[in-house]
Amino acid sequence: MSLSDTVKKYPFRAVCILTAAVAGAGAYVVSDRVVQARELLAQKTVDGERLETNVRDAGQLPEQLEALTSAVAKIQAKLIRAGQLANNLQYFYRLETESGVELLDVRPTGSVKGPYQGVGFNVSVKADYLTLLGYLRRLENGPHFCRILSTGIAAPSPDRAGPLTLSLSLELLGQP
Amino acid sequence: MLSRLKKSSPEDSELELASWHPDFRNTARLPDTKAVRTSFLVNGIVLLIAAVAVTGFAFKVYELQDINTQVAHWQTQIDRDKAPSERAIALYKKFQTEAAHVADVNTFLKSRPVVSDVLLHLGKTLPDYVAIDRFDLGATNLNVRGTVRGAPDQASGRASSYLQQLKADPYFATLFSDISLLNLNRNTQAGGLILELSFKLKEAKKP
Repeated sequence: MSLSDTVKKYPFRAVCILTAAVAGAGAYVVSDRVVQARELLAQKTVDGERLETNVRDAGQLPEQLEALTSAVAKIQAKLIRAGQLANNLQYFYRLETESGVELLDVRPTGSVKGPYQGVGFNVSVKADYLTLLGYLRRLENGPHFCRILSTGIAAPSPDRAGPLTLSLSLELLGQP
Repeated sequence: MLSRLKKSSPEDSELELASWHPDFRNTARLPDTKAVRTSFLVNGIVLLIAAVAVTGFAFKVYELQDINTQVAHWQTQIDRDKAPSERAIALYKKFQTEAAHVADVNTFLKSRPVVSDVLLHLGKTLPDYVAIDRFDLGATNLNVRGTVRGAPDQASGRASSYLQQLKADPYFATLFSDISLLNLNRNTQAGGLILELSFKLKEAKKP
């Protein structure tokens, strides 16, 4: 019995088998597409969530950036310029006048290659203990950022009479 | 009764099978008289297979459509958020740059102790029997030299208790990892004992 005879004899079965075959093939093809679509969906989900998080987290970013920019502008104003030696030395002479110490020596040390680096100075002053303390406090809490690398305070004589000598190696935060 | 007990021979069964008249029936054309027809069963099974295949296909198509809908949803959201996200990233990069400047300043200031605070605290906690003669802060250590008043036996006890006091001080504990006595010698000129202390800085960084 040929195939056509069989189909003619059992048309319902033939239609069912044909339908099953077509549907099976279709399911196979669509399954493949489903796998690809799932991969695409995973990628889009990751991208979408990342973008959504970026947008959500950046809600207050403009205000925070503004506050930070303002703070950095204030920091910038407190930086010294390593190249402006006269202005930098003037700062120490002004400090001498304001605090009442006697400035024995001040000289710059080293050079600055980039921004936000310490500009070095060696400073020697003479005064009584309280005046020296006032000088140090002005220096460390003054208009420029200062860190003291080394300090030497010595009494002038064994009986501790007379003014003290303060030697400082310090850095003021600056830029070239 | 005896006939039932009698064993049947092969000849007897042949006799039983053989029809007593010719069989003119065409069995292929005769209707199926079984309770459930074979044809019905086969059709049912084939129909079931087809139904399962169609259902599977329909489900896959539905699944694909559902995923595509979700992809489209995410794509819409991505298109909506892309520009604000890029702006946010640009802002954040700027924020990081600015924050780095603040961190630089913070590192600069925190890298060394505040000398005036150390001096003030040293003065505030100084016993009346100790006088400071030298104060030297270096890269890794603070060395302090002073005089302890009193007779040598009394002054050495005072020096020891002062050292314990310094070690127990919470402020100095935050700045120095170790405080040790370097020397305790007789002061021939002013009397008492010359005290030399070394304060080892915590996380001492080379300037």
